[in-house]
Amino acid sequence: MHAKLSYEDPGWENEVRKICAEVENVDGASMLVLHRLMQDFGYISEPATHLAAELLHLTPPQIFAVATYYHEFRTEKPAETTLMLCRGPACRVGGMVALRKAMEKVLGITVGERTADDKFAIESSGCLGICPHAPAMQIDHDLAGRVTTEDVEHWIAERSGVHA
Amino acid sequence: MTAQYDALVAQAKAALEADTARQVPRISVGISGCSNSVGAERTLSAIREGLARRNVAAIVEEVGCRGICYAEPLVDIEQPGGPRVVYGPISVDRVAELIDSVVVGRDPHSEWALFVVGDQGYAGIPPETEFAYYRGQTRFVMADCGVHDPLSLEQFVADGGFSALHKVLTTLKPEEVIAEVKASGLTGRGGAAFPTGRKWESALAAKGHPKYLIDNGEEGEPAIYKDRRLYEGNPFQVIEGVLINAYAIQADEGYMYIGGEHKVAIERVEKALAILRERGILGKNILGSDFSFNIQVRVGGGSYAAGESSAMMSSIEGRRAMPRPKLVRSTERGVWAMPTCMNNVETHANVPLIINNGAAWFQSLGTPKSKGTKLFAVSGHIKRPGLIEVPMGTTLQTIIDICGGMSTGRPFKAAQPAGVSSAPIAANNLNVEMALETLESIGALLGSGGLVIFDDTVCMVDMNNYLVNFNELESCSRCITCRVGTMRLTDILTRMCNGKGRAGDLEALAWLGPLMEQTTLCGLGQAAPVPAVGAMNIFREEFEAHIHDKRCPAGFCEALVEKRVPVGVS
Repeated sequence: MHAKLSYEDPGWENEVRKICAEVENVDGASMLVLHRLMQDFGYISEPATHLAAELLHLTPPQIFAVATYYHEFRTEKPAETTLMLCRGPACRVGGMVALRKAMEKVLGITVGERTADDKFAIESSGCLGICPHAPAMQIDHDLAGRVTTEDVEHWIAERSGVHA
Repeated sequence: MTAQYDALVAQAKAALEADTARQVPRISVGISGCSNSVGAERTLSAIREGLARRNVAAIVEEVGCRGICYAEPLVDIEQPGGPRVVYGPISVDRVAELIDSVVVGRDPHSEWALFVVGDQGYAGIPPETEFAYYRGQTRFVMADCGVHDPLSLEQFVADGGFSALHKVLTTLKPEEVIAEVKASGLTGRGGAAFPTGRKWESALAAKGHPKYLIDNGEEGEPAIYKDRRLYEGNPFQVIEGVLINAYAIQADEGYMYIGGEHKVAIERVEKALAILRERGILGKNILGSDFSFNIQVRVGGGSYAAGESSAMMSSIEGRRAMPRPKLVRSTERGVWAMPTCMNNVETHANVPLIINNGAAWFQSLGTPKSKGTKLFAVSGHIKRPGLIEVPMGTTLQTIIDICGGMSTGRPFKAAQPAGVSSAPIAANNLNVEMALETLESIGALLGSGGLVIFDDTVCMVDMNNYLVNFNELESCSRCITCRVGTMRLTDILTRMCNGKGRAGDLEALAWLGPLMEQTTLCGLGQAAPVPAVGAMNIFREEFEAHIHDKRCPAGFCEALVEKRVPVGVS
């Protein structure tokens, strides 16, 4: 899944300025800004942290502390597709072990790793909250429930083909 | 009576009449984070396309979640003047047939139907009152979830929405509102179960402005999904509760803090707030009264700790969600060091019901010490997992029966209530009443209403390894005993699952548990060792088998599976 904007675009600084200007009158806006950076750029780069800190009248460590604390914020460019496995108890007993193994077998990586070509990463997340539909995972920001190993193989094949 | 409220009711009435007189069918699709994960959005677009292709006129609307998660995606079809029939599961491949036979052909297609809304059956389809999953439930808080278009102010008002707020603003003093809530016996639904009326009382008495109010919808603990469904299914009801709370404590500013993963909930709440601002029910002079109040939405970042009250306040201030020492109560010194009153989403959703029906009505539901109804998110090895609402004090067995019994045909082993904060409930306690005092008497907790059901293939050592690992990953790391304690707990249990358990491990667990409870700052750290220590006490033999016999009696731990002795071999 590609982000709308890229830090490689020459205009990225202006985009960050725009985002910060929108929350000029909001107290404690660092979370709001970081959410927007995630949404628009896909991750929070170090230069962006510095710029946002300056615009919000904070020190860079103050922003960096927040960016590195919350699970949803990431400070490195994500893989093209992140397969996020649910770590909840219902999924644990509802077939997640088999699902994880199938995924690891197809991709040759385990949870917390990414493929050498940066196409796929497997991560785990706190409970996704769709426990009735265990096993559950998140793929490209969409929740998927009642996931089968066939689904996973299909998604991986589909995405490998597109980017090949 | 304020003129604004009168106008609102008149509009709602007119809209309702227009709807009754409509000549086209109405199709409602349950769209929530939960149903979308099994294709509800695809079902919705297939219905829209299918109708367009056939040139069939119909009203198609999104509704929230009824809690019937096991049969999602749900589609309601209501012919003009006819009954409203709920169908499910309707995956994309069933849409064409559903349109042809039910919408166009007017065939009831009863084999896909779950029930008919109301107390009258239709063509062999049972009425709502006889629908097995609903029959054992007492649905007040969730009554309109999945029924109304969650963003239709008219539908909400036509069903009595904002009448409680109007009553409060025009006829009651803040003290009177608090007295009513206090008399009802409502306690916090987020896990800590603090008496709501008492909290409001100290918030009203607190000096200093601006005074803040927070609606806590982080809901980051595992296996619970009630608050996001209330946001998605009936955001106006939650907001009405927030506004009544705000008036009762004379608050100036409000935050609705919603967990970052709950995308549909965030979207619906934002839209609902925008509608209310536009219609004068939020902002300056609410419903034409003297009372003014603003609400901002704050989105969490996927941190379990952010659900803890002081951690949430730090998060709202734009910092890490780390709990802080509560030397002074947050009702006196909370967010931005000002008086702050925080309540859970489900607590807020109960408030309009109490104002409308009275404290005595609320008192009539539940047990001597736990009043009202409670939402339970039931998942695991259960036939009909979903979200149910029952009176406080309903037994665990009854809840399992409502949910259709075990899904695997295997015997019940344990239930894990309260996410990662409670000891499990074993089979000898199946008849325990799910209420604060009764669960406490067996060493368990009600928490916020999560309930995962396990059959006998679940290994309690593995499960608790999993739960303490969750606590380890989510620990804010401020207290050493939480940061290191959860690591040590994970180490010990992981070792046991891998066949490397040692003599003394159980003693270490038994020592660490109370130590962590006594030396950590917040409720989450104090609760972190509780499930594992509780499970160890209840399932002692299973824990010992892992250590001494290198055997997993449930057959789950892979490293120990080969140690199982096949039947017939001695």
